[in-house]
Parts: sequence; structure tokens; C-alpha cells
Amino acid sequence: MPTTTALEARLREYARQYDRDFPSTNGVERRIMARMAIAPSQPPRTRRRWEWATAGGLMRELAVVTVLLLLAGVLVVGANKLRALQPRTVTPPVTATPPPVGKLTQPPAYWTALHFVSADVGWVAETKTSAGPSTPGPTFIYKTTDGGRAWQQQLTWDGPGPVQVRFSADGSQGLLVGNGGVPLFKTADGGAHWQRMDPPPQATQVALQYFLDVNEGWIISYLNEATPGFAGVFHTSDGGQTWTQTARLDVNQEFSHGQLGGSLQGNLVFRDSSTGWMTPVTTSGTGITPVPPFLYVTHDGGKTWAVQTFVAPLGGALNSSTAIFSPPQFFNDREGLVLATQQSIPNGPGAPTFEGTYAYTTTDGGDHWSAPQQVVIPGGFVSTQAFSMIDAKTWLTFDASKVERTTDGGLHWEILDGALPADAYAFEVEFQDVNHGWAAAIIGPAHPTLAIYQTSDGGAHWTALTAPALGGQATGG
Amino acid sequence: MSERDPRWFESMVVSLTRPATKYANVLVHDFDLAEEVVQEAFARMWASPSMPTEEVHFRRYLYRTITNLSHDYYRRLARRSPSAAPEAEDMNPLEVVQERANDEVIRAALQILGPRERQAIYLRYFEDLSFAETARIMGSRQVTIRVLVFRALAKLRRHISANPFPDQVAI
Repeated sequence: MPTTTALEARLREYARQYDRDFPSTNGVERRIMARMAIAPSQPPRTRRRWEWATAGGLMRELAVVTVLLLLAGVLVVGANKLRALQPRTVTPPVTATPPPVGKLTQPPAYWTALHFVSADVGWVAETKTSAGPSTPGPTFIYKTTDGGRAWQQQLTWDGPGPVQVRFSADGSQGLLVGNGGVPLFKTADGGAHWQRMDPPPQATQVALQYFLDVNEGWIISYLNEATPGFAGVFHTSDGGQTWTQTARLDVNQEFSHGQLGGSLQGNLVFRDSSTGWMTPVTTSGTGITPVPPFLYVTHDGGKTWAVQTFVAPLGGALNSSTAIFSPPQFFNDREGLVLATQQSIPNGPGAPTFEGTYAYTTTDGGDHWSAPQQVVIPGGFVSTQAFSMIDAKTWLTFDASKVERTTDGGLHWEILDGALPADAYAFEVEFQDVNHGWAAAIIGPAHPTLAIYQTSDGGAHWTALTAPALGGQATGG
Repeated sequence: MSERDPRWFESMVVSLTRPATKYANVLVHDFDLAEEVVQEAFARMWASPSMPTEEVHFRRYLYRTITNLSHDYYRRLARRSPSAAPEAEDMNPLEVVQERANDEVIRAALQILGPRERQAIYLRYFEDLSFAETARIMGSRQVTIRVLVFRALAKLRRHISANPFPDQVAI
């Protein structure tokens, strides 16, 4: 039988593995902030900072009284009664119902995708919420062909919304990709008919996925083999109809730079059929020596991977433990951009702070990246707000209803006053060019509804479009 | 920090969503559901006039809310289908993650623990919390948690001793 000490060591090692392999939670952060934005803020209890904290003194008094009562109880009632009373005196029990709160605001659904191929033709995805904790869904796909005046429901499935939506320029070919490649729907007639595809059967534990267009995509999945730690690279060039395993990777060899063990946690993006990047989620911890900031890069369609190191800012502390990379974004064949946000390492239980954001640019398709340029991101957190990079210099952020725009690559920002209604929270944003864009928002807080807005002047002014009805339920417009 | 500072709340969301989702996943055994539970928990925190404004208290309160919401979920599940056991699941992302783990024996052994034992083991060893903090989050006395963890470890040791190899473990 293993000793307790040995078992504790194994549990801790197992916990590290669990952490390394746990999926990204970026999506839920934005949903949380959306709900916060539309929820009526409760006035704080200024006299009582927090019930438990305030209750501390009271608890001690109660404890003293209770101890006296308990002592009496020993004499009168006996030891059994004493044991029954004791647990009530220290901390509040885990109640059957959650802590009392103010009135909650739950939108009927969330936007989970928005994509327009022209001023007239576009698709949105809505995923319905539920009254209590349960798996989100169903998801509805709607299409407009008249610039958002009318919407037609095209597809629905039970489950979370798509993580990628791809359409050809004319809108005829389309692909909807769910998390882990499930579900995977394909259309060849603008969405009138959809065919459900499957990820490769060997891909039972999908870690990374990316579709370059409606046809070409990759899935990297752990392989269900007797020896754990190997992943398969699966490639499709027909929108998921057929898959080919192109490589078998030893994760602990290929993806363990600056880490104690290999991990596929992160994001996958491809610039073309051969060159792609994996932005790793690196961790800090005991026994890990930080290395300069880096991404993994492939030049053969994911068959082999190498480390691509980025120059750290002078005097800065940007390294593998503190850098949070956004996936590289390309604006044409050669010009691209990647943002790295520097996060402080919490020493103890404190929350991390964001120390700054750096932009790296490329003009040769990502073979070389510039020195870091410090930029400003309003609000600081890219992950919790809608953020759109239209080109290397023109970016927009949507902090709830506040729209800010930079035209010099994040050096200076202008606030676009009154662009969106004050009670709007932009959820999904897409721009076709520097002028034309769409925003899918939640409007709250009294009766949260979904709305879609369009701009033709770079975000300065927005026009409300009709929002599709959710599963037969009117949701505004 | 002002008491209702959205920026501060946002920093809590950024820093705690991932650990909170990992915790919720251990309780509900479903990644999508865990995300929903965490989202709901944060929303309730924000809507609560007594929202803690210190990180340590905020985290404790958040985890307790997640625990309660998870219990709510199982109660609803039980009402809908009396035969549905909380441990039963088909597509369990936690297991998907866990199956990747090198220590298959530990993975299998953790499944034999009851919900509260698993909760205590998770907080103590996965989050590296003290017995005192684990007790605060679970709403129990410290001594109760010590006993709970001690018994859970004993269970795990017995199970591992009887099932030393992964292929001998019936899941």
C-alpha cells in the first residue's frame, strides 16, 4: 500500500497534469462580463463590508455563548446532543440554495457568431440560455439576404454555439465548427441545406482545431493509445468530409519548451496551407525557469513544430511565465500582427495585474517579427471585451457600449461617443473594411434582448438592424 | 479599490474564471456545464449587495456559490430522473482531460470518492489550499475537513493497493 506521503505527491503531480490539459476558458469570461454589464448593480453595503467579515466579531460572541450553552448541554443533555450542536457555531453551512443575491438578469440567449460576406448577406448564431445551470443550447443559425431587415432560421442543434464560422466570398460555401469539431456542418448552397460532418474517429480528445477556409482545416487530438502523451495531426481539404492523419507528435517533446511537461493547451492558427502557429498557455510555478516569450511555428502543415522566439522588451519582464499571446492575425499574405500582454505573477493569493501590452509586427508572412512596440489597450483585458483589428493600424475595442478606435496601432485612442446605446454590451464584432462593420449586442438590463448594429463610418455611428426571433420568441429589433 | 469597481471585478473574472471552472468541472463532470455554473456564480456575486471586495473573500464566496449551484444542478437532475446518479456521465470532458494524465491509477481512484471527499481532495491537493481555507470554502469545521481528507486518502490508498495497474481498474 502506498504511503500517505507518496500518495500526496502523486496527487499533486496529477493536479499539475490536470491544469496543463484543462481547456481554455476565454469564451466564458466574455459571457460573464456581458451579464455583469447588463445586470443592475446593487449598492454595496458600506457599513458591513462583508457578512462573514462583519460576522466575525458576532461569531466570536456567539461562539462564547454557545460554548457556555454547550457546557450546560453536557450536563443536561449529554454528549450526543453536544456533538449535534457543535457544527452550527463556526462557519455558515453550505446551504441548499446559493447565497442570497439581488435580482438577476439573464439574457434569453447569447450571440455566439456573426459573419457577413457583403452588406446584404450574413449569418448570426444565437445560443439559448437556461433558467439554471445546464449545458447551453440549443443554438440557432439565422441568415439575412437584405442587410439585416429580415432573418431566416436555417439550422438548429442542441448544444453550444460554433467557435468558427467560415463562408466563401460569395456566401455559397459555408462551414460551422463547434468546439472540438463537434458539431461540424457544411453547406454548398448558402445554408439552404446543411450536411453534418464528423471529426476523424481517432480524434477522441481534440485539443486544437482551426479551419483556414471552408475546405481546409486541422485538428490536433490526443491519441487513444496505450502509451499516453502522443497526439495526431489530422488534416482535411474538403470541409471535413475526409480526414488524413499527417503526423503523430510526442507532445512531451514537441510542446514542452520552458515547461516541466508537454501540453497542447493554447490556440491554433494557420496563415496558409503550410505555415501556422500554436500560442501556448505557459504556466509559472516551482521548478520552472521562464524563457523568452515564444510561439510554436510549423512550416509543413503541422507535421513538425519549432519554437519561434520573440524579442523581450528592454527592462521588461515579458517572458514565458508572464506573456499572454493573442493568436497571430494576418491582414494579407505578408503583413501580420501578434499582441503579447504582460501579466504579473501573483505572489500569493492576490489577483494578477496587467503590466502592459506589446505588439509584434511582420512584413514577411511571419518569418520574422519586429521588436516589441508598447501599445495601449483600453481596459487592458483583450479577452473580456470585443476587440477588432481591421488592419495593422486600425483597431476597435468595445468595452460594453463604449467604442474606442485607434488608427495608429494602439498608440492613441479616440472614444466614439454615443456610438452604441448606453445599455448595450457588444458581444460579437466584425469589420469588412475600415468603414463597414457589424456588432451583435445584448441590450439590458431590465429585459435583456439581443440586437444587431451596423456601421458604415468606421464605428462612429451605428444603425440598429432587426434581430432574428429566437426559436419563435421575439427578441427585439 | 472602490467597492463596486467594474475593473476590479473584471480582474477577478480574468484571474478566477479558469481555476473556478476547473473546480466546477470536478463537481459537475461536464466542461460546458462547468462554464455555465461559473458564469452564473459570477453573475450572482455581481448582483449581490454583499459581494466581497477582497480577493481572498471573493474567491471563497465564489467557490461556495459554485458548490451550491452544483448541488442545485444535481437536485434538479434527480427530480427529473430519480434514477440518474450524479456520477453518471457519457461525454465527460473531465475524464477526457484525466485520461490524458499519466497517472491512470490516480484518475480511476478519484472516481471512487464521494462528492464531498472529491471536493476536499481537489481543494487540498489541486489548489494547494490549507485545511483552514478548504474548511471555509466547504462550510465545515477544520477538524471535519481533516477527517474527510484523511478518510479519502485512506480510501485512495486502499484502492490503489488493490488496483495497482491501470488495466486492472474497472471504470
